[in-house]
Amino acid sequence: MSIVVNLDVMLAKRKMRLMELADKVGISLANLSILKTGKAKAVRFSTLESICRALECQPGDILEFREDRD
Amino acid sequence: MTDAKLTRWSFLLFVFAALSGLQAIVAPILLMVNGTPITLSHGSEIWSTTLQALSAVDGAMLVTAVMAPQLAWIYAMAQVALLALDYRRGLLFHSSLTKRFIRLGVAMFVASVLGSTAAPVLGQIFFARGVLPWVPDIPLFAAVDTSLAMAGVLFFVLGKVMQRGAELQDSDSLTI
Repeated sequence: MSIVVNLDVMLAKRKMRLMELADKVGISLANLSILKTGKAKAVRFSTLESICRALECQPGDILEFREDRD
Repeated sequence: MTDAKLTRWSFLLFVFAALSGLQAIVAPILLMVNGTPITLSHGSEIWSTTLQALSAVDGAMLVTAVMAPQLAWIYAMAQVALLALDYRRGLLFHSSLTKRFIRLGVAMFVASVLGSTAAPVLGQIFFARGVLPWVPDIPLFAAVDTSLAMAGVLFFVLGKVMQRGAELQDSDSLTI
């Protein structure tokens, strides 16, 4: 997929664990894992807003577009 | 519909499918074993024989003509029975169910076509091989079971629609 999720990078920058983010955002750890590993098919604006608020970042810090090479 | 009701209906569906499949297996076997006469007509002329009276090749062709549509029907009933078992296990909207619907549709359509064409084609072959003195009065496709074919097409399309639904459901469950 061309959209890459950089949630782990932001978590490292903020020195925050996934469990902590899950608590702050109110999303299950399993769902955040799906998002972090890039298995998610879509992200709701409300989820993105909550993550951005919790990590004090912009959507572009979490999501990145990369051209597929194949 | 409550789960208990669904379980009861699923069980009923399983029983009907199993009985229909069993009947499709037993009926042609009894026909062959009992020496039941096979009768064909041409105008007022009647030709009658038994499976045992035919040569090995002709007998094999007759058995194939009788069994081919039955096998398609048995496969269809197996799909219905498995579908009923899936429902009983609580699998209601799963991608495996859509495959069963598609297989069921194809099997019913094949059973309809084979059931309609096997006898007239065999009549032509028997006439060509000199087994029959004339071509029997079974016009090709005259007795096509359109209701069965229609049901087959309907199940096939329903299966494809359900397949799309399952894909959408998967996509929705992966929306965070």
